[in-house]
Amino acid sequence: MNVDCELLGALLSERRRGELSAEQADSLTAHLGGCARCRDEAEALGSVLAVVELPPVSAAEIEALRARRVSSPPPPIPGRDWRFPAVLVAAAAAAVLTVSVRPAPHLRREGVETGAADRTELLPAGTSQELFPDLGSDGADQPVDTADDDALSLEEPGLFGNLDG
Amino acid sequence: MTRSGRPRQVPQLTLLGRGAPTDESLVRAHLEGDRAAFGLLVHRHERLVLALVRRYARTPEEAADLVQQSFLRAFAAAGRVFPRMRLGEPGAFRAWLLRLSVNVGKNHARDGRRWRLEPVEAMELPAGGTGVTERIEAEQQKRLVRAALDGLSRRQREVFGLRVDGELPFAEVARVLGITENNAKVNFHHAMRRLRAQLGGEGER
Repeated sequence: MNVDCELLGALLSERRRGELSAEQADSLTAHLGGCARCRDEAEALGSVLAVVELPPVSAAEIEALRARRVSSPPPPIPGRDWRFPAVLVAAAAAAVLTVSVRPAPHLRREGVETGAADRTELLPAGTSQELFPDLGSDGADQPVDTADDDALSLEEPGLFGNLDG
Repeated sequence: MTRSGRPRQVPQLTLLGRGAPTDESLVRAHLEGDRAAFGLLVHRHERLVLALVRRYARTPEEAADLVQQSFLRAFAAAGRVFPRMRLGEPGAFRAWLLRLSVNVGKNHARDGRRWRLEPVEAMELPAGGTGVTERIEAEQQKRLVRAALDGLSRRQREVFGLRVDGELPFAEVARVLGITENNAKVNFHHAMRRLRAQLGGEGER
């Protein structure tokens, strides 16, 4: 087996976990004996592996996880607060509506009566909530699948085949 | 109970056969209305999901929340995804679940506040006694590792997480990510070199 220097990190990781066959392990050892660059790098990468590895998940962690699942409702998806954008959308929509129903300036100058204008000026505060009662309510902050939704898709043909077929 | 007084017949695939049911058979059972099937999938994979997402969390509670979010998202998507899943391929569900979990963790970490290096004063440490210095050093080391991981490319980070945290063989890492095994290994090698450079010493430039 020829050892590719570009795979050294992976081979060291596999050797660390005992995943290499005897032949592969021998090839790696032989390669490290003859390749000074890889030999130096192997020592450093081995140290990095030791630093970055976390201890195995303990039985206590699993028990705590199960107890938590039973005793507490799950929190919302972290980092997602859709209430704020929903309010913005409602405000923007109300502003557009307000502008659209105001009379044109030349009509106002000429004193043309427009019922719409009168109604606009009488709109009380919180009009957007009346016009769009659903916006800003609890239902508006439901998570919307966006960038992270690729995890829920089946776009990997290697995994799930051609879905269109 | 049925009108005749006998218990309603619910598909009980979970007890069929000599060995444990495969993930894919549990997925089928879930689609057929076996309410216990998804719980068995959770029970089977929660340790691995926790191993994957805890790197993105600062506390055990946060990690537990991420595990819950992963399974909740899986459950919510089950009706849409499971019917299209190639259940004839062993490992299809697990690969999908692991990808989903990695993404839940990544989305969590996307909020920079959770990954920011914080001053020692902000750390939760005991008021005194032995081991304080060691804890400070361990905490700082953990944060340096997090910062170094943050410097990896997306693919390198995914490969690293599945291999080091999930302890998956490279063949399965490749399967989860939809890449070749050789590609996974090369990405891992470059991730390690970059981590080496970030954590001190020479390496990836």
